[in-house]
Amino acid sequence: MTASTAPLTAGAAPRTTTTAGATGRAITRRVAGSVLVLWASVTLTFFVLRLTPGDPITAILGGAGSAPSEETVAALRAEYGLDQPVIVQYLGYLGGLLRGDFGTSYVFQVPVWDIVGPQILPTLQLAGLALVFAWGLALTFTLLTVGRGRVLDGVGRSVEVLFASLPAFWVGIMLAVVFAVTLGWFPVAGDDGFVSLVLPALSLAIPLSGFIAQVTRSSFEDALAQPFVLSARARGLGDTAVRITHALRHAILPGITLSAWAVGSLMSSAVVAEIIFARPGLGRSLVDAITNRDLPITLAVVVVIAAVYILVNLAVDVLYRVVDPRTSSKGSAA
Amino acid sequence: MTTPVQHPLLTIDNLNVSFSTPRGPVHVVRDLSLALAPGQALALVGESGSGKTVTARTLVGLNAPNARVTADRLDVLGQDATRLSERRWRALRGKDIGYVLQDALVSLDPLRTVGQEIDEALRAHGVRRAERQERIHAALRDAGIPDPEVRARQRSNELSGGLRQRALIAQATVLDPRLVIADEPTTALDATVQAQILDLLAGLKEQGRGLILISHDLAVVSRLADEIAVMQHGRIVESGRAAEVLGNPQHAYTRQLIDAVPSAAGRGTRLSSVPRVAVGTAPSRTSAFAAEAPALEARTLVKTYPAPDGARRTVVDHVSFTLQPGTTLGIVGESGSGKSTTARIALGLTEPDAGTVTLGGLSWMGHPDGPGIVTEAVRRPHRPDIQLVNQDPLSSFDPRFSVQRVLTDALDAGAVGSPHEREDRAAELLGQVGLPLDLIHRRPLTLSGGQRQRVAIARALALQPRVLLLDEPVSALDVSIQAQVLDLLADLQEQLHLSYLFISHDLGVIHHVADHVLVLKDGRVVESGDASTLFVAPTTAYTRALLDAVPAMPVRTSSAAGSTRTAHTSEGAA
Repeated sequence: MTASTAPLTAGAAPRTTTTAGATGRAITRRVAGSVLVLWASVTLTFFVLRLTPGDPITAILGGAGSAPSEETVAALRAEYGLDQPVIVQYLGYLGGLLRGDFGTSYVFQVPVWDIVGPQILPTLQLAGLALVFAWGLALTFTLLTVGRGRVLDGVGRSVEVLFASLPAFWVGIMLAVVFAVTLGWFPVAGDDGFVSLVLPALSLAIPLSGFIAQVTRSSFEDALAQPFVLSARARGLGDTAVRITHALRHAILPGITLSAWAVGSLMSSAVVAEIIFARPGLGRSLVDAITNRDLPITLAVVVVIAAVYILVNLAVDVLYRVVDPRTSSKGSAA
Repeated sequence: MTTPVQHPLLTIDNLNVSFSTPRGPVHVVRDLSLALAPGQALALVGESGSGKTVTARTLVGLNAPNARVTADRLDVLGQDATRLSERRWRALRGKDIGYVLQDALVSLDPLRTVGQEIDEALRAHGVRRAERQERIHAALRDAGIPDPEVRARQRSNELSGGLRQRALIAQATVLDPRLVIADEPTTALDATVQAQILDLLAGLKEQGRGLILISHDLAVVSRLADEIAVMQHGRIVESGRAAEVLGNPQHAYTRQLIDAVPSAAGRGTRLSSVPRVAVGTAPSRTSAFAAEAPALEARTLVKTYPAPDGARRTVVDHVSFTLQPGTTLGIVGESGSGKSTTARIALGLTEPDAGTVTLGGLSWMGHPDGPGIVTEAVRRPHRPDIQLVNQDPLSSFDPRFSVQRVLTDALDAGAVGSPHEREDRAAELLGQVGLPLDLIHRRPLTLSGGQRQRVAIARALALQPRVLLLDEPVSALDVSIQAQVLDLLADLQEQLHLSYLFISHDLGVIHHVADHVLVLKDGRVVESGDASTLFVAPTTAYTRALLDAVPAMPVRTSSAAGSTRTAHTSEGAA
């Protein structure tokens, strides 16, 4: 940084980091944007699912094997509103969503929310714990191996690449074989509290930790090379203190951004763990719904995943501002 | 009770520092000996890579892990530093030795407040919580920072350049260290701020602390140092009392550093001993550029930008200037004075709200009847006539391009000749800026700072311009390299009859190069006129303050060296 690029307001009166108005406006804009994204994902999914071949009536009547009469088909069409033009069906669906009505399942003939609703919490628990495990692993790698000599650096790097390239389903099967079947430390399958959550969460967390650690490693390395680290050491701080109070905070910034994407992908990749460990969850519901051509359930799961994704992104935005206060002061400091 | 004896703070005999690399050891400091007493300031002076910084880091035990330090004697504050454990070093650092780095923007953690950074030093040395807050405020106040309660809660990026450098000094001196090491403490600062920081450091010295000052700029250290040690290639080539070293330099390298400082005395003379370049002929390109008209003329330029609070901030306020052909107009001002915006308007990149610019007699920017009448389509054919050289050439090069590609790329833009002719022209350009031809396939990242700036100048010359806009072209360079680049610019101007618009915050440089000077403050022209009169008899208080802030060198006693250096003749494209 040189003199000519110093802030133009040099020597101005002390300023606060941000004004309440600016933050309020930023949040309003983000929420409006989120609603737009949610609407776009609903619309896109709705029309794409209509484009797929096959008649929903077949699904409603229990598969291709049934041979319904013309009258039954016509009556069902009217009942589910499928005789209306697609655009009318779409508007009807949107109207239902606004009232919290996700429609009726074609296959189970019950309100969609009765099926999807109970699945949300198990999947959120799984994805949440997987994220916590992934961060724990990634930070452990970073703190233990970055800048600790060539050998440890190499080991850390290799383990990260290995983890990042492992497919979740393979990790899941290996974990199940070793820790559930052979050692018997954890249940093989089912939904029985925290203990049954550990292995499925780990099977998702291990590949993800590889990705996060690769990002935190490089920013941790960059931070350690910065002059402010030298300043801190020259104040009498020890190596560990410098790593934790200075470098780590810089290192997790890009990882936080990555986490927003990770939660979204965890929600959908959870299906792998849910199937291997026979857990209930959104992923399972989605797979079943797609194979059964149960459009209302498919749509509902997409809406829920999109909503979670959007909420997590909002949360990450806030978290980012907490870790890096410069983000929120940029507007007023320029 | 006995009165304490004034022990020396530092006693170093034959210090050697080398780094082990895969290609064998690299010796960075060789047989260095020095001593420092309390209340004294010792300056280590030399170019980048001379070993100054490694020496300083050795004194706080913070060299890279692959460093090997040996010495016959290395006493730091009465302790044998070659035997200190990491624990003992940590007890010294911050408490007895304060270490101040160059740029507070990166030398303080940008995610933490200034107060937190100072607090860390207090906590590391076991100061009780109850006392800490008060001591943080006291340290900031002692470093000359007003409203310490407010400033302590701000981060370095929220402070002005001067305040943040003061905060950096505060965090290094909060525990009253007996020894303060300052590594290029003023290099990135405006002249007036630089003067304030030097005064602050002088105050530390008067309190009886020992001060090690590291700089590449002899003019800066001359203000503060009692002793000067000149370093080159890891050795001290000359050392002694400051007045002695500056007034009667014995070593050729010291003389070279002194001559390199641009100032009034050096006007029209060469600053470096590098040979003159031979450029050959003046531009052959045909252009509507009228040679007899002012090369660049700006009339009452106004530019405003919206401020965050919704009001409009006037960045350029009725600025007028005339750049006569073949001369240099220097624009001086501190950060935020409107220099850069004025430059962008002159380059035809930013449309002014009002006012006009003519380039070689042609309408260039703005129009009396309103903005936007002279369109880019009108300007485009004349763009080769005015070219830009930046402060930081590296970021203006595509890092994947070779030097040749950088130059041919510029030639492609002007569609000059065949591809083969462009390669020949690229080689010719390298010669014009005094670079050897074997650099042509190197990438900018592998070049030194001075070489990069020469490539940037060669690129600016590619399309045979009439006007060069030089925006802080030497501010990022060591003094001795700066001298070579300034000499090159003088040669080019003389032989190619170029006109320079030269922007700098360094008045010494402006005084050396400019025929006319424009002093900007807050977007307004404070003063303008002939360099010879303006620098000798400034009419406004602001210009006087700027001039007073320039670190002045003592008058030289040896002038014989200068005359031999000017006798060098051109040797053409090597």
